[in-house]
Amino acid sequence: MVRSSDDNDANKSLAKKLKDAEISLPIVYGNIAFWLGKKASEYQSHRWTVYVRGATNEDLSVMVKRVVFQLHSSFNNPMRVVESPPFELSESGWGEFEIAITLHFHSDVSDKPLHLYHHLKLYPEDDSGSMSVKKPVVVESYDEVVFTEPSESLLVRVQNHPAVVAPRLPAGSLPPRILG
Amino acid sequence: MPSSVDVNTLLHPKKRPQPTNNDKITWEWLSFTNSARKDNLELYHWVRVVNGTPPTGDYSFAKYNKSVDVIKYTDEEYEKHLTDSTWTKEETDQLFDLCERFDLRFVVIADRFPTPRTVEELKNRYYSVSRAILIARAPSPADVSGHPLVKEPYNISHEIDRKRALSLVLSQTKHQERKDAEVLSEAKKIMESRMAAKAAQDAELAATLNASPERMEKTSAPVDIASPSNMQGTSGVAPLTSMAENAAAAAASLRMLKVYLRTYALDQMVQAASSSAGLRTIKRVEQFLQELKVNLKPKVPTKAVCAEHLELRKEILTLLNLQKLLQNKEEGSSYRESSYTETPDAPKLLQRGMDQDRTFVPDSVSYGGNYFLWISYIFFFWVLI
Repeated sequence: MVRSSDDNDANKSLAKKLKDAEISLPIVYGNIAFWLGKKASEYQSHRWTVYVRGATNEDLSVMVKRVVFQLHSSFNNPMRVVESPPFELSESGWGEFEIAITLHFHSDVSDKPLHLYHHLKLYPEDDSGSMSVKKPVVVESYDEVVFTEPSESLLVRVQNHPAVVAPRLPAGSLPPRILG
Repeated sequence: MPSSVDVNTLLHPKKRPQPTNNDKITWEWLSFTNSARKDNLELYHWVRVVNGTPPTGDYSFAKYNKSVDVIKYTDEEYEKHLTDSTWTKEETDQLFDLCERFDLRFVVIADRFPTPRTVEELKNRYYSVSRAILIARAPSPADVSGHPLVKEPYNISHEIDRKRALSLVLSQTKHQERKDAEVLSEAKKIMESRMAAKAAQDAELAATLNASPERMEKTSAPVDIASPSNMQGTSGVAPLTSMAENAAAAAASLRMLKVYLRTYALDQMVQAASSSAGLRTIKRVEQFLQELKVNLKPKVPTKAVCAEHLELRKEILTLLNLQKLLQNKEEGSSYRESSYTETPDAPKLLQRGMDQDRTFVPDSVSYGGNYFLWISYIFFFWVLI
C-alpha cells in the first residue's frame, strides 16, 4: 500500500517536476576598475568592467540567456543588455554606484529573472593606498543561483555541464527514454 | 678537618663562601668609630680578620644614616614669598625645625607640633614653602621645572580624600564586606532570573528543535508538525509549532520563487530559525559567531556551507538558551541553600515546575502555585535590596 503510493508519487514528479531537487549555478559577480592615471580626466578617471561569470570561469550560457546591467541614470542608455557570454560590460566614469544586474534564463530553466545588486567600486578601500595604474580594484562576490523543482529534461540537459551543480538522478527512477 | 667543613656547609648553606684553604681567619674584638655620629664615640665589636689584616674603611652601617636637606629660608624670603594667612612665621619655623629634626616623618612631627594641625596641613605647608623657595631662588622657572617638588605639587584635597577612602575600606568589618557581596550577588541573580524566565520558553523551543533538526529542513513540514511527538496538547507547543511553521513557510516561499540566490535563502532560513528568539538573543548569537571567528555571512555560500552555517547558529541558540535555563536552575538550588526558610520547599517546587514546563504535563494548578511562589521570591529579594 505504502509502496505503491511512493511509486505513484515518484512517477508523477518525474513526469513533470522533480520535487525537492534543485540545480544550482555557482557564480561570481563584481567589478574590476583601472585608474587611468595620466589619462584620467575629471569625469573619466576610471575604466571599469562589471561582470557575471562562472565561479571558475565556466560558460554560464548553458543556463543564462542574457544579462541586463542597469547603470546610473547619468550614463547614456543606462540599461545595457548583454545577449551572449562573456556577460560583462565595460564603461568609464568617476563615480561609484549600485548596479542592478538582472539574469534572464533559458525558457526551460526559469521564466523568472533573478536580480543581483553590486556596488561598483573604483577606489581602493584603504585611504592610504594610493591609486595605481597597474593595480586594479577588484570587488566580487560568490553566490549560487538556485533553481527549484527543475524539469527532468533540464536536469538531463545540464547533468554533466561544468558550470552547473545538478543532482544525479537515481538510476532506478529514471524514465526509460532517458536510460535509453 | 674536611668533615667539619662539610657539617658547617650543611648547617649554614647560605653562609658566605668558604675562604681558600690558605687564608687564615680570625675574629678579633676591635674598636671602631661611626661616621654617622658626631661625638667620636668609640665602641668595640667583633671583626672578622683575614690573614691578620682587619677590614678598612667606614663603619658598614654608616651609609644608612640618611638626612634630608630641609630648605632654610631667610626672614626676607619669608616676607617676600612665604606669607600665608593660615600660618604664622613662628609656626612655620617650628614646622621646619621639626622637619629637620625628624627627617620629614610627618606623623611624628604632627605628634610633636604645639598647635593642632593635621598631617596633611603640615605636609601642605612644608611642600608649598619648599616649592616657593625653590622657584624663587632659581634663575629662571625652567631651571627647576624638572624638580619633583615643582613638577608634582602636593595636592592636599586629593590626599584627604585618598586617606578617607582608605580608612573607609580598612575600617569595614568582615561582616559588612560579606553582606555587601551577598546583596550584590542577590541583585545579580534577580536580574538574571528575570531574563532567564523570559528565555526559558525559548530554550524549550530550541531544545526540541535541535532534537529533530530534519523537521526544520524538510519542506514537507506541515505533515511533520502534526506528528504525535510534537502534539502535547498544551499552549507551550504553540510557539514551537509556529517556529517549525516559520521554517517550513520560509522553505515553501523559497520554492515558490523558482529561482533565488543561496545567500537570500540562508537569510530567510536564519530569520525563520531565530524568529522566536529575542533581539538580544539574536545579537548574542552573532557575538558568539564573531568569537568563533565565523563570518556572519559566509563568503562562499555553497549549499553545504549554508547548511552548516544555519546548523551552527541553531546550536549556538540552543546553547545560549540552555545556559540560561541552567542559570535559572542553579538559582533555584541556591535559594534552597539560602537562609530564608519560611518556604523551604519552594526551590524544589520551582524546579519541578520547570520540568513540567518542559514535558508539558498539564498540571496547571501546581504550576500556577509555583509561579506565584517564584514571583514572591523575586519580590522578596527586591525588597531586601
